[in-house]
Amino acid sequence: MAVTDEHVAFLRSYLRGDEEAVTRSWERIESRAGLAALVHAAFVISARQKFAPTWTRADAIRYVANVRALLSERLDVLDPRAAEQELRLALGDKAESGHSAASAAAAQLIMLNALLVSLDLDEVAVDDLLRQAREVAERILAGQPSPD
Amino acid sequence: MAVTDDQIAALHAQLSGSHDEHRRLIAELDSRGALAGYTAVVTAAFIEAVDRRFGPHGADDAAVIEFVGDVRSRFPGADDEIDPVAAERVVRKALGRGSISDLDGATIRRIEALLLPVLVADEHLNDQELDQFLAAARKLLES
Repeated sequence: MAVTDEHVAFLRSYLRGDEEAVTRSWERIESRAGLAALVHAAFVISARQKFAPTWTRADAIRYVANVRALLSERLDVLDPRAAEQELRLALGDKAESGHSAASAAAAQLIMLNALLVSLDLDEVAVDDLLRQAREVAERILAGQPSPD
Repeated sequence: MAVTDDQIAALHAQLSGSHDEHRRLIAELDSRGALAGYTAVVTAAFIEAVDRRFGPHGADDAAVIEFVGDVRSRFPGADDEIDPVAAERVVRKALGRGSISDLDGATIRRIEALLLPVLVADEHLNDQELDQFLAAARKLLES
């Protein structure tokens, strides 16, 4: 398992909102395992940037509510409890995820998008974040401890 | 449906923070088999409170989501206690939108009972205003 250039291209296209590029890069992806690791790593990095240096459970709840309010025309697209739990886990909470891998992955992807908008990162900063996320994801896939 | 003064008194006690008095009055209602009527009063008060909170034209779904999120973030354990999707649906139904026919009665009543005190507390009503609020809720049931 590895994080491929196609995984990074897909995620970059998704975060840019380029639907055609998303479709093109999705079709080139042979294995999705690396993609899940990349999304997770990017999500954790961006969550920690957004909520640095300290956070509370209340912060996580309100943030997810704000994101869902922005998505209010599609109420079922983000499971609030999955999103809250994934956010807390990304910020260092020790509880195990009680949701399916699919719910967790969907929550991470949508929340990643929202976090990057919140952080107001330009393209250079997003590319840098994706580069960091790829390094972290590859370490995890190789069985090495992730840097904290 | 007829509403009794002691049902209103029980809810008044809860909403004014007189929790011992509230428990005493609830126990009395229960001993007389009058709790079913009391839960109807709570529902009417919840509808009235939601209407006051979100205005006569009803707020959009974003406002409902943010309200429920705010309530769940305010008190330790509230996020575990209150299912956000179910709570949002109950509030939207009070505003005349959507359906909660698949939610069981106990869940609906529990959500109303958890959100009502917060809705009323946010209004910062004095005693007279609380009486007026409960009179309006009573009117919903008796009309």
